[in-house]
Amino acid sequence: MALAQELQIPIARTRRPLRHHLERESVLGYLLIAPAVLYILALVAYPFFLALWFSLSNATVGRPDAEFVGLDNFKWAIESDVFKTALKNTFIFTIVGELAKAVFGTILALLLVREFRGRRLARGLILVPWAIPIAIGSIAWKWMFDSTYSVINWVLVHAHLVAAPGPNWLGEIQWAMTSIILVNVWRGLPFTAIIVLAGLTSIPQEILDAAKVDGAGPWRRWNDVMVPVMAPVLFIAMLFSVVFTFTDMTVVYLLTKGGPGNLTHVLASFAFQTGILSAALGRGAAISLFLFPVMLGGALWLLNLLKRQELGV
Amino acid sequence: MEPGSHESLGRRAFLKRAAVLSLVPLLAACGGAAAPASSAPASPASAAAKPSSAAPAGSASAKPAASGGAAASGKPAASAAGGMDTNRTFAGSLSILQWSHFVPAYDTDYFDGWAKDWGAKHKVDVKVDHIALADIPARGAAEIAAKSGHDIIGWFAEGGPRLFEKDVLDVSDVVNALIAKNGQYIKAAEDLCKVGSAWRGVPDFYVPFPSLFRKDVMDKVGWTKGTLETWDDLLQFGTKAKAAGNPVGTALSDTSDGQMTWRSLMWSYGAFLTDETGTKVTLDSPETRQALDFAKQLYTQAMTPEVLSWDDSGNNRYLASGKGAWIYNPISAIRSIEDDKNPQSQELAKNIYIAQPLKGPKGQLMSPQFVVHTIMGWTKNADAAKQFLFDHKSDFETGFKASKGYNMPFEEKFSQPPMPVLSDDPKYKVLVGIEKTVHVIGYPGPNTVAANEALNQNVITTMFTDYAARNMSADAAIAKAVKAAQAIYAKAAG
Repeated sequence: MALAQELQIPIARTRRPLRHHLERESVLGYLLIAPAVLYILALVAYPFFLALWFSLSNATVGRPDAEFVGLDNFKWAIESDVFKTALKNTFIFTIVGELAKAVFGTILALLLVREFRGRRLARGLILVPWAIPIAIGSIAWKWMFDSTYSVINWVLVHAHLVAAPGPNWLGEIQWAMTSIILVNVWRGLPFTAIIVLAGLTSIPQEILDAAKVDGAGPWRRWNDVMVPVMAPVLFIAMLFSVVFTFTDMTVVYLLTKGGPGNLTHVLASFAFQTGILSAALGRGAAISLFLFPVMLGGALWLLNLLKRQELGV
Repeated sequence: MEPGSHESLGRRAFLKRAAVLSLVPLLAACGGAAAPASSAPASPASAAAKPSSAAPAGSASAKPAASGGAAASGKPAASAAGGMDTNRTFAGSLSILQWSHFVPAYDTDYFDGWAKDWGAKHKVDVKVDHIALADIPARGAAEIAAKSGHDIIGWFAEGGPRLFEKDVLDVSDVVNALIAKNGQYIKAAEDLCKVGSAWRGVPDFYVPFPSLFRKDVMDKVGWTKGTLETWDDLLQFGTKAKAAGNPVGTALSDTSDGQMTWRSLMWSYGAFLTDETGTKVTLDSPETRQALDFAKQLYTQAMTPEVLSWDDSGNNRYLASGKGAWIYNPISAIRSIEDDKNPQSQELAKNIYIAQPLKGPKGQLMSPQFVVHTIMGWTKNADAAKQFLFDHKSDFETGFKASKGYNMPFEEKFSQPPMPVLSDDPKYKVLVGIEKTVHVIGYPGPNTVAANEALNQNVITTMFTDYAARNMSADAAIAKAVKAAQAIYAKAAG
């Protein structure tokens, strides 16, 4: 018995520290988040570093034995006319698209927050463009922009708003960029609207009522009450939306494939055309990584703004 | 809790660190970085495929890949037809990736059924996946990056055998057996499929670009020649047709149709992207300027501006709309109108006629689309794949009839009259002999990796669009194209 007791002592001593360690947040926290970190390392970090290596090599799809070429691929990109166009288009696409989504998404959210008959149905329907696969949505739009059978042109011409045959939506650069931005906004608008709506519904009614009693008009209520309360949500939504828009190639690829004359490419679609369709992986990777530092800086700046907002600095 | 204990790590600090750690690669991944290792969609049929026992072509280029290793029957390979034996049985599975044919009946009524029957006869589980032709390059590239996927890939209008030389098997034994059986190919087949001394692809068929024109519009505008023989004919007829409300059209955009059309025009004017070696960019020439001037006249005087936005089916829709007087397209455009039971379409089809590719000042040269098959290096069933392709190409007539004359043969023998489907049809018989005009991407040089990259980067179509439709000067348009081409060819040389 005494021997047994003696034997139990070390067992108890070893069990207690393990349980004790697991109870510590610094250990348990890492353990709980480990699967997520491993997942990110395997499926995000590994491709990232692979892309980094590709961008510094002459890798092609059919040639895994790539050689280090330094910054040649980035030099090529800077000198490429199509790259410059794609870079400019990426900023236009993102800035115009985001502004449109912010303005119209907010208006939509302000409308949807009101009580009206069929509000639930309206809220559900608003999400449809965001919920359906982008490929289906884009193809439907492609038909609407078709040069021969455009339903939009048919309506515009028959309403005597434009002369026949109407705009060449996907054939003229200005119209093509407009079409691309329009489809992107159509798709992203529900996301912005729902995020703003969620923010609006989280504002206690008493605060708004108090502001009203104090004589604050709609603009002051929006600017001085609603926005500060919703700021954290808005910042995060904006960060996600900007990243998604900045890196979106689907709409461009499905609507114009970067045409006419390579003039509507954004960086992501040009990277796909170069790296995958033309098999020049190195150059494609260089294009796609070109704005990574800008993106990272922008993201950190937004997060910093959010932190300051939280701390009230 | 005591300050300074485990809480000192700070939940917020910890979460922030984790968030920043995950944000960095997340942003990069969102940036569209080409990371095929994680994105390759393996075919269901071969998802569990392991590295093939068959040697990849890159390491076996000196001699044809050995055959017979995967035979399940133990039956010795027949000596007839270069080791191919149509009665041999195999085991396992075979997956094929190829385009969805523009004549759908070819897939539904012929190829898929034939493949299934072949599998039953040879004891192989055969699976055929069809995807849109525009998706084949990306899908093929993804499978090659993952070294896993379909056993056979049918490449459409792209130099698969050359682009992926090291990832495809040497199929010289199959091609040599086919040559022994069916005779020689036209030169274009060799240009596309023979890399060095080895055949890396099995030529299937090419898709010519003839003129498809409206006879009733010709009558309406008083075009008495009754057909179109030269590019100049087209300009003259098109000018009249546009004035009569029926502009002509061919894609002036970054599509496969556009790539083929404007190359054909350039070549017919004696203008080429490179010299015969395929290394020196020769685009800046008087001939290129002539071709550009012609294209500008054609666009402004005779064509519809819709051509700037067309994809590969744009001109088909345009012809079917009853508006277009001419398009430059494979015969699928007229076949689909013929197949439409609508009386209006039937009437339209009666008025659409076909003419050989247009002649220019320097000759009658045409850049066709094409399909070639490669056997992928990771296949576990190389012998079955070889036999499959041999048997598929052994029977020309059935497939040609199923394609309604669309799949033009690379074999000289099958190109001779009388050709099934075509020779007896007064409208289509004009296509017989079209193989004499065929040249492939890279002409007059070889079909190199750089030539294919220039194709995929839209160097030629952009040059024509810049000059014809965007008011760029010829010098500027050519200089821009030369700069883009030289960057591609310099990389290939390096």
